[in-house]
Amino acid sequence: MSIINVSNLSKVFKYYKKSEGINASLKNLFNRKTLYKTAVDNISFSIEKGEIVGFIGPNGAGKTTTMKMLSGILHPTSGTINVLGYEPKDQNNELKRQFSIVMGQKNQLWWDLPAIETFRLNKYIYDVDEQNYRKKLDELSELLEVKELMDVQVRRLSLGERMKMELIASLLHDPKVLYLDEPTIGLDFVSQKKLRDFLKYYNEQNGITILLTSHYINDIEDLCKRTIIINHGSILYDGALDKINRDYNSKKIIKLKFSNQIRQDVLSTYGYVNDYNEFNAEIEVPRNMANEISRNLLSDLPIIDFTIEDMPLENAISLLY
Amino acid sequence: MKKYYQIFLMGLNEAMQYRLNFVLRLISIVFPVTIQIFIWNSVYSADKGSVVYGFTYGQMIIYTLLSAVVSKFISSQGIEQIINYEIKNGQLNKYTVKPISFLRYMFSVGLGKKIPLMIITSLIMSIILIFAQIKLGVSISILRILFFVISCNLALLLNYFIMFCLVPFAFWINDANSLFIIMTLIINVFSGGVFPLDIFGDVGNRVFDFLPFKYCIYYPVSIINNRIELSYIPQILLLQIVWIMISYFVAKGMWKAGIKTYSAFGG
Repeated sequence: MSIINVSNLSKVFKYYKKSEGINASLKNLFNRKTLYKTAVDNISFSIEKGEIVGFIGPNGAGKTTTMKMLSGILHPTSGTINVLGYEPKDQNNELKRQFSIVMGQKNQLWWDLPAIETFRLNKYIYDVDEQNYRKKLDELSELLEVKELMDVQVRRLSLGERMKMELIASLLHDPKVLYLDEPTIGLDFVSQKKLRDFLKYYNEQNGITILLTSHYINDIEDLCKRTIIINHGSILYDGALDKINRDYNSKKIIKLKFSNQIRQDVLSTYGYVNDYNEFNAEIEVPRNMANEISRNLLSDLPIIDFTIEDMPLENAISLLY
Repeated sequence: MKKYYQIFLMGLNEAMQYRLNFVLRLISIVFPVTIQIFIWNSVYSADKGSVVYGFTYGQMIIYTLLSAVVSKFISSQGIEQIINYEIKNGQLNKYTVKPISFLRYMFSVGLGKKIPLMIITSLIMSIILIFAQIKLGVSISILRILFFVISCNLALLLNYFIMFCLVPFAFWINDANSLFIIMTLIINVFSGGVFPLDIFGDVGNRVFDFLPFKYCIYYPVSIINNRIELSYIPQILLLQIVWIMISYFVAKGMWKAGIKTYSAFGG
C-alpha cells in the first residue's frame, strides 16, 4: 500500500532580478524584472509503507523544496500530493499528527531549556497520553543513549547530541512518516553511523516510512534500498543504488601491487592509468573487458596484490548529473 | 486548550532564564520618566495649584508615572521581532508542520514570558498609588482600582492583537524590524504612553477616538486617575473588548494572507 503519492508535481518560484550597483537598485525601485525559477519540474513517484527512500542531488536540485511540499510548508504550483490520504497543503491536523520533519539545519528544541521540556510540550501538542509518552521517551532515549542529557539545557549540548534530541522530539508522537532533511550534516562519522543504525533499527521495529536527503553517500548506501536522484528539479533515477553502477557506469577499477618496478607506459597498454607509482597502480578498464584484462595482467606482470572494484558511487552519481 | 497552557508554562519557564535582562528592561523606564517629571515640574512651577490641559499637578505626575508602568505592563516584549526573525529564517516551518495555530502559540508563549513582568509592574503600580494617596493627595476608590485592573488586562490583550496586525508585514517587507520599531514608538505616543492625549487638543482627540490606541494606556490610566466619570467606565471597558475583537480578526485575516504568499512563493 503506498503511503505517499506524488504526481506531476511542480514548483515555480518567483523572484526579482537584482543587478549589481546602486544605479540598478534605484531602477529596481520602479521597474522590477520578474524572473521565474522552476525548482521542481513535473516529478512523480510513490512510496510504500515502511520504505526508506533516499533523496540525493546537488545543492539546489529541488530536494528540500519537494520535502517542504510533502510536509505542507510550501504549496505546489501544479500537480498533486497525497500523504496518508490527505493533501498536505490543506494543513489538516489529522495529517500533522502522523508525520514529522527534521531539518538538520533548523531546530525545534527550545534553546535555553532542557530538551525534556520540549518533549513534554510536544506531548501536549500532539495529544500523546502520559503512558505512551513515558514508554516512547524511555525507548528512544535508551536507543540513542541520551538519558542523562535530557535535563541539560539544549545550548550546552553538542551538535550530535542535539540531533538525537531533535529525533526524539519528532518521534514521540509515533509518526507514520518521517522526513529527514540532511540529518547528519556536520556530524562526525561515528555520530553519523550511530544515527544511521538507530534509523535502521527504528524503521525495522516500527515500520515507519522514512524519506531522507543527504549529501553523505554513506547515509544513502547504508539506509536506503531505494534512491531517487534528482537534479534541476527532475528525477534522473529511481531505484536501488547498487544498480546505478551496473546501469550507468561502464568502467571498473583494477588495483595492482608489483614486486618489481613497472613503467607507466607498459601499464597504459592495458587501460587508462588512474594512479601510478613504481610499485602500485590503478587502471580503469571497460566493465565487460575487466576479466580478460586482469587475466592478461596477471600473466604478464609480477603482481603480488590485485583487486577489481566498482567505481566509487559518487563517480557514478555525478555522471548522472 | 491544554497544549496552549503548556506552551504558556514554557514561556514562563524561559523568562526565568533571563532574570538580569528583565531587571535591565525595567530600569530602562526610569530615565524617560525622570525627564518628563522635570518638565512637568517646571511647567507647574509658577503655581502648583494651576490646571494644565485639565490636569492638576498631582494628576499629571501620577499620569506620567503610571502611563510609563502601564506601557511596560501591556508591552508585547518584542514578540513581533521574534516572529519576524522566525519568518525570515524559515523557522516558521517548524510550527506550520505541527497541529497548532501559530498565532495562538506565540500569544501563549508571550503571555508566559510576561508573567514576571506583570507581577513586578503591578507591585510598582501599587507603590505609585500608595504614594499618590499620601503625598499627592489624590484619593482613589476601591471600585476604580478594580476597574483599573480589568482595564489594564484588556489593554494588554488589545496591544498584543494590534502588534499581531503588524506582524504579517514581515511576509511582504524584506526586513520588517524597522517598521516594528517605528510603529511601537508611534503607538506608544498615540496610546498616551508619553503624554496625556489631551495635549493633542480637541481635533487630535477626535481622530484618536476612531483608533484603538487610546484604549491601551490613556483610558486605563484615566480610570485610576479620576479623569473619567465612574458611570462612563463600563462603556470604556466594552469598547476595549470591541477593539480587541476587531484587531483579533484583522490580525487573523492578515496572517492568513501572509502565510498564503509565504507558502506559494518561498520559504
